[in-house]
Amino acid sequence: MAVLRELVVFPSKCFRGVRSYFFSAPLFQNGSLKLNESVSKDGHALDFEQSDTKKMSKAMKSYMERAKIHDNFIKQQLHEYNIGKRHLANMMGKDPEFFTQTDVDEAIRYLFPSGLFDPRARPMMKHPDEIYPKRKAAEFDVNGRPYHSLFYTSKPNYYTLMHDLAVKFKQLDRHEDKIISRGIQNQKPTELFLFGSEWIPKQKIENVLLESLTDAQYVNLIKTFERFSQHPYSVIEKDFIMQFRRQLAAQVEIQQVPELMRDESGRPYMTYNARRKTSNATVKVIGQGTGVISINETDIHFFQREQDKKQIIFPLQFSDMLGKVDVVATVDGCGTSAQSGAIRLGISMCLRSFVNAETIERMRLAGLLSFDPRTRERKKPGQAGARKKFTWKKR
Amino acid sequence: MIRFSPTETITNTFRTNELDPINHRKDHDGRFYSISQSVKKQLFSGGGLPKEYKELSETLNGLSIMVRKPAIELITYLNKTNFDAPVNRYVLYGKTGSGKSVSLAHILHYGSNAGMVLVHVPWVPNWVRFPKGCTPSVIHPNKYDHPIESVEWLRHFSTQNGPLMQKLELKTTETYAWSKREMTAVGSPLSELIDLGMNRAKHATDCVSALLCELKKAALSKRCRVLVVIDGFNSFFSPKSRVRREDKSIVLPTEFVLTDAFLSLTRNDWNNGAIVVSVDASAHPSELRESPLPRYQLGKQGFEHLDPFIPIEVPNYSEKEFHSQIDYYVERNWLQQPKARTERGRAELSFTSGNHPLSLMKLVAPY
Repeated sequence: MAVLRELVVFPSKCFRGVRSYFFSAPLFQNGSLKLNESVSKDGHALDFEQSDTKKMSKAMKSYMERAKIHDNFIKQQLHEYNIGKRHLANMMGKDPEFFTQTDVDEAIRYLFPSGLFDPRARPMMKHPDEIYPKRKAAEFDVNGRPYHSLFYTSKPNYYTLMHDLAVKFKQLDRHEDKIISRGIQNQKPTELFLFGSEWIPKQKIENVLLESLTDAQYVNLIKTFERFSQHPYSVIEKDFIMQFRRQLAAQVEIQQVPELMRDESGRPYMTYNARRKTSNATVKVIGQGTGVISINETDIHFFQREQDKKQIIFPLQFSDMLGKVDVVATVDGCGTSAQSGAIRLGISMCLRSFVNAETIERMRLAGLLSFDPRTRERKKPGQAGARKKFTWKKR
Repeated sequence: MIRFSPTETITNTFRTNELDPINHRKDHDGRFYSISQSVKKQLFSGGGLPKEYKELSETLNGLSIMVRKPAIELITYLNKTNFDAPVNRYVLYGKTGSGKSVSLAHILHYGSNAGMVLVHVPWVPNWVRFPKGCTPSVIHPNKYDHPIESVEWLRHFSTQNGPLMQKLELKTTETYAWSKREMTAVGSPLSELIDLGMNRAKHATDCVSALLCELKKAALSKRCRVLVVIDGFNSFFSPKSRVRREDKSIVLPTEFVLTDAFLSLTRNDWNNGAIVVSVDASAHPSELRESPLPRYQLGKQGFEHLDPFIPIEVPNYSEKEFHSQIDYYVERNWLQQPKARTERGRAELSFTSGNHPLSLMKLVAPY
């Protein structure tokens, strides 16, 4: 059995999804090693196997027991989950047959409302597979002989992946040679488009491989992938590569820039409510203006410090709208820094409606359109402040 | 550094050739006219120009004042005044640092050129907040003298009006007995009165009162025309001063002899003159700085004293005035950053200073 597994053909395995790539061996929860069955096959083997089972070490025994316990546990959890789902469906008045995980989540949120900040701390009901970490399947048989040929590297899945990459690379080279030998020289292969995605992080790879990697090993793996994806014909293995890449936050997700409104005199204007720390600012930017600014019914000297005035002027100068628009702002709460920051954000957001897309992008890159999420850090007990500690006494 | 002299032909648009304030009209609005060193020394050596403004003018090689709307308005009124009618009171008001003192300086120059006797108090809070030693008055019970300040003021008066007083040859109309042995007889020249005050600090305050009284009478009898210019007038009605009695109680400004003297002069019971006064929030303690408007700054007492008056607002720079100011700074090489001379730079300066004269001056300063 162990030998056969080595010669498993790669292509058929590759495209089944990353998980299936490595779960060639039965998982703990699915299969329990049926010792009695293997024993009763062949009379001759029986004696041999019987004697082998007798020779089974204590370590092996306890390993098997643990596997069984875990298996049963997961089965029990799964059973409870399914029952629980049906109960929930009945409670919520929905059809138990078509009760999906999203429905479950909604129901839990409704029945157990939580004010906790971290989503992971809130009550949840999910499939046991998602809650209980996956374990590797039995890595060796009854006789202690490992299934995987690279078992004694202690990271068989990792090294398998590395070897696969090397093999594939050679295959791509052979493909390239074939193309060249056929004389199709001008045919440029389509480039592998990796923009908008990044290599999945170390934690994710570890979850997939079910092995912990050192940083050096992870870096090595990524380097290998990079080299692989730089091959001119790497587009052939696109699906394989994309299994190990995750999409970045879609930059195509442009926020809808609101349309300009018109007031009674026909002048275009835009309003925005901006926040910074605990201060709120309501900013109205009016077009066809001369650069008049009004903050809480006073002029720019509402802010006495130069740095606060600079904050206000920055978006207007940056987008070349200084002297072309009027600004009316009301602000309250917190201190001058937060207030000026809030007004700055308000002005920037309003100016989006007045300027072209290129300027909006420049503003975004300049950080004018991002909400500043920094808030005052909480004081912790046992410390004088958020970070400051009490005087440390050696004795 | 270009040294601007009065005879130079002017090719730029922010200056004007017209150096006589009497001729300043609307088309001079936003333009700078220069004041010669001799005039500056005569008029402002005892005060009258704000300290930083004066220092800047010395750095920039010559005092140039911008002709602005409030001053033009005042000059038009003063030119058209019917001097047989009781005196008009004009009150300049506006935010601190908007240009009231400089407008008053402009009017002072006008008065000097128009041959008016100048009664000029550079900054009243100096008497109320930083008196150099108040003594109880001998003649007036429960009142307080300012011996040192009165001497200084008499000196300032004689510097400003020296040549004119010599020409006018005004005489006292009554006897003033200073002590058992000292007295000033009727018909003695006013210069004698002034000299007495300058030499005898003890009697200086009363000299000032006497002088103001005499000037009032002289104006009434058409012997001279008097222009009263007082900066920070609302300080006379301030709720507190820095003067304390022995029992640590605060002396109010209304209990000063000087206050009485100037309040009597600013009453409209005489003619052949004009009274130009400014009220500023910074002349009051911080509790009374909410609004720059005259009624608030003068309080009930002050308002009743000055009512009826003509209020003249001194606003922030208009766009034309602002550009003129920047042109001046650029020409004088005070604005050295090349970016400051561009349109964008000007827009930034305008925005950050809010077109406020004092803010602009501070913004543009290298310190």
